[in-house]
Amino acid sequence: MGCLVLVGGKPQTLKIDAETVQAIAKFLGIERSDQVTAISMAISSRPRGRGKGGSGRSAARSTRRPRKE
Amino acid sequence: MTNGHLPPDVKRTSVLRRVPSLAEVRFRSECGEEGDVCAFELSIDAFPVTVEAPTGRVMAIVPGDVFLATPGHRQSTRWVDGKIPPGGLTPGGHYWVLADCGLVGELVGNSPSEKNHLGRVKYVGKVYGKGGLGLNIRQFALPAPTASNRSMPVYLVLGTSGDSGKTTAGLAVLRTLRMQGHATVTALKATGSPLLEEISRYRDFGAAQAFDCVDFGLPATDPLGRDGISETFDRMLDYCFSLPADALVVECGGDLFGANVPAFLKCLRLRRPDPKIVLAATDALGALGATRVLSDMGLAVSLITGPCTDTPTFRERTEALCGVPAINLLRRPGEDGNRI
Repeated sequence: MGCLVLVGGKPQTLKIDAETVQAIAKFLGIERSDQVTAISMAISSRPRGRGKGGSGRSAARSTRRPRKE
Repeated sequence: MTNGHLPPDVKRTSVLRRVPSLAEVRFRSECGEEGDVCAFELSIDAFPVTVEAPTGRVMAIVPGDVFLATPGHRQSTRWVDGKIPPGGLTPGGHYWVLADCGLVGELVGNSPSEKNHLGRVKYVGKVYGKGGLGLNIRQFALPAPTASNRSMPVYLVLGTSGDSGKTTAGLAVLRTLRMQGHATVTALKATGSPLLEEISRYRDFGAAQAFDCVDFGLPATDPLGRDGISETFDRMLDYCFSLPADALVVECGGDLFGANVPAFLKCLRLRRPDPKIVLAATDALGALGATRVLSDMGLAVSLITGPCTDTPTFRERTEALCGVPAINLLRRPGEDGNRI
């Protein structure tokens, strides 16, 4: 996770990295949103590709034209 | 100048940001009250001053300029104290630009720090619209909410003084909420003097919407104990709670006792008895005092930040005195070896 940098009218720099986010979330009891959980569950339960002739990413890869030498 | 016209593109300050552009700017030589749209003149022999334009940019007012701003009160912990005299500003009278957003009034006191907005101006007259009625920013406030209160959590940022790191703390909380997947967060700068640049930062950092007192018809929430302030805070909170959002981040400008923060806390607690509080403190003793004052009000601090966490020694002392976790938000991880 990257840092965000705020440079305002005052000479200050705000760094928000994973460590800070985890600390603030812990101390303020901010949990992962249901929206994020639902999306990650949807991604993890998505049907996998079935190889040649099937659907999904591996099928898409198998129908790709061979690169010209 | 008594009664007259000004060009439609006359310079105006950000406290008037909700006032629509006027095809014709007419003014009358009448007393100016809080929130009235008023014309002021910077004398030809003055130094230029800078104020905030309605776009949020820093705008110069140069000697001889006539510009639009509003009478306002200011009781700052670190910058300027000023007020509207009884009866309002008198045409031809000389007053001071008290805040970047364009509050103008009598100067009561001034800290030694440099302020580019502070300049002496002459009050020219009150601007009026079609039908001859004077214009006031409350005529352009947000309407009363139509939806009922929603049950979003509230994250409240309080400080021991101005410049104690409240906005930085508020932005960090906002960013944490967004990174934890809370898509729609509302930000509210509830008390103190408004500054568009400040609430724009909340938008930059991912707030779906950000408001301050100007959106609710007031140029500032000073002075302390003013009439009707609870009703304004009620409208502010009801409006924010009526919006579809996952969370509300509230920053209270000033310290715990100024800008009517106690009245705001009372209004907030009627709706959310137990908000999560982040305290921005300049020093460990300030943090201790604020923690105790809030405890007496029945409020618990969840996290402390600000200059009282700038060195590991100071941060640890703050934690030990207050019994509350303290973190610093302005350093890279590992920069002080022990930031969290």
